[in-house]
Amino acid sequence: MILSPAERSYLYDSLIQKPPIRPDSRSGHQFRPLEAKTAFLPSSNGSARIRLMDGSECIVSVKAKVVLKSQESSLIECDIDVSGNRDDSNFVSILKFNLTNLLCQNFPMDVLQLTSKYSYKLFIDCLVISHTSYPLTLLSLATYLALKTTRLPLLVSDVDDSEVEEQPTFSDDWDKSKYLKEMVSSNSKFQPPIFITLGVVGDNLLFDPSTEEEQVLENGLILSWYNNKVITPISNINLASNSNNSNFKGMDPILISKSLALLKKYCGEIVDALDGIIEHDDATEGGIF
Amino acid sequence: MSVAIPGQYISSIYKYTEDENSGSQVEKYVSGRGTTVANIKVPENNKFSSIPVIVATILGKIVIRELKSSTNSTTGGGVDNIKTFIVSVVPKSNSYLESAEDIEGTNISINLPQENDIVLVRITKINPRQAFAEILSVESHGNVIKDSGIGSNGELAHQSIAAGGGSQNLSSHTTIASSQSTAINAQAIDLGETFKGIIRSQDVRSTERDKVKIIECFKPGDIVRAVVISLGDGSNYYLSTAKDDLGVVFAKSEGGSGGLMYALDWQHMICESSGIIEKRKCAKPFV
Amino acid sequence: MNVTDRRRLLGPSNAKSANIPETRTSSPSKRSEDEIRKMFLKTGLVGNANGSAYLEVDDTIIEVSVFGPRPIKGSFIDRASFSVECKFLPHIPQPNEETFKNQSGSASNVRTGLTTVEQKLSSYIETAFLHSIILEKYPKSTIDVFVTIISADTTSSSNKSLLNLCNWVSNCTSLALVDSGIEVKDMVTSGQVSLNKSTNKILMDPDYSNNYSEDDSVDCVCSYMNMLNDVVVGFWIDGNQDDLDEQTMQKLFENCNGMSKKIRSNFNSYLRGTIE
Repeated sequence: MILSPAERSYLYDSLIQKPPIRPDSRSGHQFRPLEAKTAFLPSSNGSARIRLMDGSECIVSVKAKVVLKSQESSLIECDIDVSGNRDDSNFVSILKFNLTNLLCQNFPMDVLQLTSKYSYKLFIDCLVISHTSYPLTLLSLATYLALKTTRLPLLVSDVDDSEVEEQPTFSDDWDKSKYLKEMVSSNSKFQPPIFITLGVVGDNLLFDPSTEEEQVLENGLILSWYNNKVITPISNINLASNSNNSNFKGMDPILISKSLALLKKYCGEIVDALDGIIEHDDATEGGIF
Repeated sequence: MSVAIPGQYISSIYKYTEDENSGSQVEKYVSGRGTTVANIKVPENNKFSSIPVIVATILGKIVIRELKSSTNSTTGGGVDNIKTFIVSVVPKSNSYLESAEDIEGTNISINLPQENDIVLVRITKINPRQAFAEILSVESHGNVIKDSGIGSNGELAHQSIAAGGGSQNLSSHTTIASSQSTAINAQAIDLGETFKGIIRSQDVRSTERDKVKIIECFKPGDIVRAVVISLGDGSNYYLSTAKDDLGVVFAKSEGGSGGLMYALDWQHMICESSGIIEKRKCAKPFV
Repeated sequence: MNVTDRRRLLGPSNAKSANIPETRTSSPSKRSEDEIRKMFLKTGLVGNANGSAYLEVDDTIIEVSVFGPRPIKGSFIDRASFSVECKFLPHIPQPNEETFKNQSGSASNVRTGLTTVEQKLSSYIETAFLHSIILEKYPKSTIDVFVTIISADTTSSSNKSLLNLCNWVSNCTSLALVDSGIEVKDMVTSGQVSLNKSTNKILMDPDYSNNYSEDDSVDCVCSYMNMLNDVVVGFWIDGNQDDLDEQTMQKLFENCNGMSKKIRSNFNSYLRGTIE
């Protein structure tokens, strides 16, 4: 999507105001409205679907497989498919790198442990059906919802199998299955890590920039949020891909520190809102959208 | 001449000096080739103010020349003496600097043609409506670009490369390489090929433009001096030869198989060995 | 000495073995914490490219060639398009490749495109240099950067050696761009530091191969334009930091900037040497 020079200049000038004037009249820290549905894929352990008001849509499915721990380098594998982009394109690869990196480093792997030999391995398949802005936040929020609603069958065999050759057996009763969040050992809340994208214009930081805003951003930040804390990985990126964004420039490191403070202030609410969606979803059984 | 490294500050835009002999004097500096103007932040009273500074963009030597034609007419503000200097950075590869000290403009290693630049082109093919050409060099700046890979077609082709060999794209922007800035339809052309231009029949000469026959003006292989009238579309620059000093400067008779030809008048050339006269739109040899 | 051995030419029976002093295994030279490893630079090695640079730091060997501005086909663009392609030589193990390789994909060792790690590296370089190159000066053309990693230290299983590689690749790319004569607003140089959480100590240009305790640190690579108001053009923070506060962040950035400036001054004197 390419804006005309006049449109670019108008949009840039309004975003650089204090406070920024965004085209959809959001405040700087506001997300675009979204609707979501969880646990709707019958053959997946967990699933979620998110739709944004601009038509962006993403489906995430989580499937679990029992694996021998010694044979696996990583207990989480992400696969991302973006319609209209080749799987080996830079765009898809970077999304995949970011999501895999975030989850592999920060996901509480102990919830996947079954026995001393066996473990669950999660396959997270993400499908971006349509997107206008950079889809990483969308992907990450959908992954959050899917992981939170993931149910794994109850293990009925012995936990300690270091001496015996025995494969783990599971309860047939799906009602006895456990949510991932119930398997967290400590009494801390199970909240998988999420990504937040921020746009930088002048001294302003914009949460969840829309596709028009991306065209005039001076830089973009990708930050991660986990357990009410800002965590690594953190990096910057040109959010407007294939767009010839002539505003793109370097930024003052102070802005990056500022982004941390902003995240600490508002991210708790975002996660609470997502948890709210799940609770609401559980209460109202119905069709998808 | 001192050396400049990309990013190095060369001069501020204005300098003010006060001298006992000449009185107050303002020196104005203009960014020339190989430099750009950057706003550099300077701390001032606990705040940052930014001042425009001319900085180098390439590695080379700094050349500061005074613009002779600078007018002293701006008498407002009580300053009556403004000198204008043009600041440029000249790379090591520059050969103009040794031969001609005050040649207009300077050459840097990459000289993409711009509007109103005079270029030397070689005609590659013609049809009744236009002549196609490849751009060889930009006058007073030098070659468009030095060799960037050997291919099998175009100006930079090498005889050791077989047709079709070595001339495939280096990478595909839309699929493989990281290219966030690219418009999705930009596609690099074959290795060894250079920038291309078109001379449309109405741009060949300024009189009787509707009666121009391209075949009587250019033949493939001719070297033509032309002016860039537009950056054109994605593939071609638009060139014109509608001036006395523009047109064919170098041609061989009989489609390149004959001898070198010399201009008789502005539309005929004669082969010195065979005496054949061929039609061309010639450039005036002596301006 | 066995005198009955007839199959070999033997020395005289009263031979004495030479007194070779015991070779001391050279211990890894102790660097101080704010010292950068020694590097070897050379520009203009690739004759076929418009600009090129070669860089060696310990086991890390990088070659960068710049092609362009080359003409394009297709529709008109008023600024040059810029692309980066990073490739490891096929036999080089890539940092942390276990995590990112697609196990569900075909197990064939034929490689068509770039791996995910290579894509990430390419993207980092592209983001860092996008602002630096004056693309407006080159309409209707493309500038293509090709990075080849000839050798890399990949003993660390985490992303940290990738961060270190990012740092050196971006520095090398900067030199190659200067060598090509493409106009840049300022040279981009990078720094990479590691902050040990327990000791709160900063280590510049960490060498991950030397018994480096990696679990307890947060690492940062950051690219700057030092002459242009020290703006950050690219950064990536990674590591096992579970709470990143502003002080930590500032400390990382300050030290990266320090390292970047050191590299910049080295590059400046190298480039000055090539022209005089």
